[in-house]
Amino acid sequence: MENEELINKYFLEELSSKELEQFQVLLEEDAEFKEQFQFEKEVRKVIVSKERSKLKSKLQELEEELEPPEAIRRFPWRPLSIAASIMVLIGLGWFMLKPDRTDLQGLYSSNYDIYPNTVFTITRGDSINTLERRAFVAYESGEFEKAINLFEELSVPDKKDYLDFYLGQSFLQLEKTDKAAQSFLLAIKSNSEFVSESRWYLALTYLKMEDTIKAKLTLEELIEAGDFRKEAAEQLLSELP
Amino acid sequence: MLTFNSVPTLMAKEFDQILFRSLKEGSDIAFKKVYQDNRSLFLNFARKYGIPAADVLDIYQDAYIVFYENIGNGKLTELRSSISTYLMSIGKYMIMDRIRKDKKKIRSEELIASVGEIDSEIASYEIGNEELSTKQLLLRTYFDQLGEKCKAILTLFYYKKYSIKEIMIHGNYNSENVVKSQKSRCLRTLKELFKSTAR
Repeated sequence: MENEELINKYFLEELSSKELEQFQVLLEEDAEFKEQFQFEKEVRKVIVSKERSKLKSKLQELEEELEPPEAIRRFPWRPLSIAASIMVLIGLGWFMLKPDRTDLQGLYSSNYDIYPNTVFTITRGDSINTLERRAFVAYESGEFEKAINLFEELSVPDKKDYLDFYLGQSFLQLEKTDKAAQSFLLAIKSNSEFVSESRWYLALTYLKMEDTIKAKLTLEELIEAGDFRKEAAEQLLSELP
Repeated sequence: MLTFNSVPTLMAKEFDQILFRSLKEGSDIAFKKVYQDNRSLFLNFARKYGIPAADVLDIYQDAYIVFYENIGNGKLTELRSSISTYLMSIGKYMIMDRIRKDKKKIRSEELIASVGEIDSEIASYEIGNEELSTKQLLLRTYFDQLGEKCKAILTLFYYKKYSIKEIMIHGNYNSENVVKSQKSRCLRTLKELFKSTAR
């Protein structure tokens, strides 16, 4: 076996015991081989250290967004973090599932991921228990029926333009597609900050209802606006019958 | 009060698998999520061993990096226990290492016991994080001067442990031989740069 091949195998940890023997003999007897191997080992070390520093600074950056370690005692917010993970996972699922061409429901579930709460910050240890806070806590922990009640209650005194969008999300979660469509349409009409987002979810709602014509029209509007999930919308549009 | 009993725990395993695959594919979301999710668990654990909070965070980050690397380079191919368990075991191993270095023998046995069954597997991970020597620092400077293609090939090979064939597929090369000769060329360039000033 070629020397270079042997060294490669060493680094990939693929040497057989026989090859390892050969390797050791070469290390002792062939100065050039030994020098090359040691050089590559140094190169490897440099690369590992470089990559580790990259990861380290990425984590340090991430730390800036987190609670300082001194402040952590136990984890009263574990349920929320689990809920958040689940939402992230649902989000990940969107990337991982491959759509089935003929199956609209399959297409729906491979494109659907719940939109996370981005409007209301639930702070750890926050003792103020406002209606809105309770609504988003329910939303984040997947209690959508409760969330809907609270969002609706909230809409009476203090109608915020994003409420319809999150109402739509909650209805869609519960597969109440009519109500979901209605909410998303309201969100689009009220010109909230979630217009494009609402279009995307409206299209998905229509898809869920197997109304491909409305879904396609909505997707086209979304692509036209071009500021949210344009590529995903184009992809989905191309897959609809 | 908010409870989470309504979410079936049987899902946890599947979620772990999805997270694991996502980490493997290099998902940034998963990278952050797993880090965050296990952070307080680890910090609380490590505090019992009297390590200052700032150091604990440092150890956690190093443990996380080792965990992430071993998913990326294929050493950890399948998840036989939960992500948390793996991550914690690596972390415990590192605490043990730190305690050993500090020559505080107290409680390290208890710790060894708690590292448990995957101990031997973790022992094969490259955990040490020594500083680079002056010579290596110089080598790093030259490595940085290489072209992007070279850096990519060498990193995939030495760090991610991609085989020549995998690099060929990953980098859209025409054949394994092209990758091989490109890799040797990169190494040669680096060696020449290094030799010209190393002495």
